[in-house]
Amino acid sequence: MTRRGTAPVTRYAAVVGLVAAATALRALFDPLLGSGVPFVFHFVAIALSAWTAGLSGGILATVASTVTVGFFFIGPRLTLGALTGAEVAGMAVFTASGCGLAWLGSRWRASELRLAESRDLAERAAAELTTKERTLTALMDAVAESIVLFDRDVVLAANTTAAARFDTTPEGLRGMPWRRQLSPELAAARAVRQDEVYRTGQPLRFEDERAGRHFEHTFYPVFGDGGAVTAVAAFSRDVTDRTRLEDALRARAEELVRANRLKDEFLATLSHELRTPLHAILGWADLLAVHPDTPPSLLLGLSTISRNARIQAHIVDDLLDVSRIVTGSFRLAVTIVDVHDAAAQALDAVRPAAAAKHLELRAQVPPGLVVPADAVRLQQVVWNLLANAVKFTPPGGEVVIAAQATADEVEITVRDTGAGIPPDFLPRIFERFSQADSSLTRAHGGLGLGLAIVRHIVELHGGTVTAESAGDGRGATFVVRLPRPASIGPELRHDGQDGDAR
Amino acid sequence: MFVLIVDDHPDSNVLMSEFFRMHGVRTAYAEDGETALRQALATPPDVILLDLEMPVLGGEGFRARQLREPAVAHVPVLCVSGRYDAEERARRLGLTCLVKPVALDRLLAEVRRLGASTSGGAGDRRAP
Repeated sequence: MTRRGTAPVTRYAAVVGLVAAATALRALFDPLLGSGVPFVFHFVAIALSAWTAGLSGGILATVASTVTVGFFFIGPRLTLGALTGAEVAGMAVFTASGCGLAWLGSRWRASELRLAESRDLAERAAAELTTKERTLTALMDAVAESIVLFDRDVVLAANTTAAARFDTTPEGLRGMPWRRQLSPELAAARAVRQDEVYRTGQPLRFEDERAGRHFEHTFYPVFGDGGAVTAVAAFSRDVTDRTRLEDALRARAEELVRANRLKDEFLATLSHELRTPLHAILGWADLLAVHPDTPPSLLLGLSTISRNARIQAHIVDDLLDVSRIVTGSFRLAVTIVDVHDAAAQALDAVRPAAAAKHLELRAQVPPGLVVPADAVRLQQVVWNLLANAVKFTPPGGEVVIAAQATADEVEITVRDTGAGIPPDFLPRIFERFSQADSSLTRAHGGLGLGLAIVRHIVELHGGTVTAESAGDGRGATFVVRLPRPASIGPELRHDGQDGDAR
Repeated sequence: MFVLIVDDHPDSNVLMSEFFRMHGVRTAYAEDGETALRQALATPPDVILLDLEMPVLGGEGFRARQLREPAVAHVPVLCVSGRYDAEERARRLGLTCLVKPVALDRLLAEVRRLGASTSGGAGDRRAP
């Protein structure tokens, strides 16, 4: 490469130099050699010229040598003329041999160059290969998965993780018959998987166990030049810990399902046991209140029993609703409901309590505002907001319910002139068990579940509920927004079902 | 009008019987589904008030057997229960359910509505 790069001028100068040197040497040995072997040194010059400057250099050296030797050493000195036939023949032979020698020298040089070149290439290829192998080994060793490349008989390559699982090194594993590393059953089972990959040419994922550890394997086919599978690259992951965790989780989940079922059964029993006596208490109180044999002096007592039993029934209902919310078993029976009907029934239910506190109860709910809703639940929402307003508004105050339609919603607003809501409590007002402070709970009773239930029911309907208050003592406003049906045929407009009075 | 009350809580039965008597409705009661079915077959009622959880034969079992008896299959049934899943169970049976504690005037209204729908002789057991 380097020689080929040398400029021709330099090379031909070298040829001239070599011929000159040979001539000088011959001249030096002239006293010893006389007129014998005139070309002796020039053969060397030609050979070296051909080796240095190629065939053209060799031929140039031959021609230059013939002329120079003819001039200096053959026949009469320092002239080219007056040569004998033998001398001319000798010079011709020399020229011919010189050309041959030049050709041989140039071939020698060319092959020398090629050899050097291929040695160079081989060295670089080897270096590249070493780098590649090192990269590959580093990559294979960098993964926590074990990687083994094996054909039908032996391990072809393995990473450190794989080797460590068999207490050896990747070099130690290479060339080993892989079946010998496994129990006969496991070897047979994996051979079956390997056969499948050989047959289908598709990756295969499976799990098995070895030495008490659980492994997840993926066998990838390795294709030879002919397109047939020649080996399998196995990636294996120790999933023992994950499997144990999964088993533990599954057991835990089953336990939870069992516990949940027990809790549901308990709730069913509890509600039955709480409501059945209330049914008798409330029923008899109401029945006796209208019974012809009941003396008027007992009516106050009977109405007190009835009112308190009703409160207790509501608490039971709220608790059951919350448990339904928590367990996600809250169901809606949706029909098209007129908000006016729901509001009217809720108003009827709170009217006695409002009257007892001398509150003004006003309704601004036009008929015909319909929403897809569970009639009973919508009524429960409105009742809860009204009861809440009545509960927290001092005597002489005002509670207003209004409803109006916007582009795609129906807005139900319940506004009171009562205790209001402290600003720091507003964000938590729809949370379970929250009342602004425990003294309120004592003063007003209740578990603080009503608004949580309201929000849940409203959200189940795809709506929202918000609360606003200017602060303590300045009243509160609750707004429920329910989506209107995209289009309601006229035949559905007044199909507001009577809700169950609960 | 004749109403058969099926409930395993005796106080409920006495209450409802007394209430219906005051409003001129005759009643009989049974404390399990099996007895109720026998009584219904002996004297078919106009309306049946059905609890869901009962010994021997519960509400669902009673309803299934009732529908297989041509003599009483048409009798309308109103579910009255305190179970927290009562409404859903009743819905699965295609029945209306009143959850205990029941407002008595509402109970009377429902019973009269259901009774009227059969006494007209039409086979329509489901209220409109």
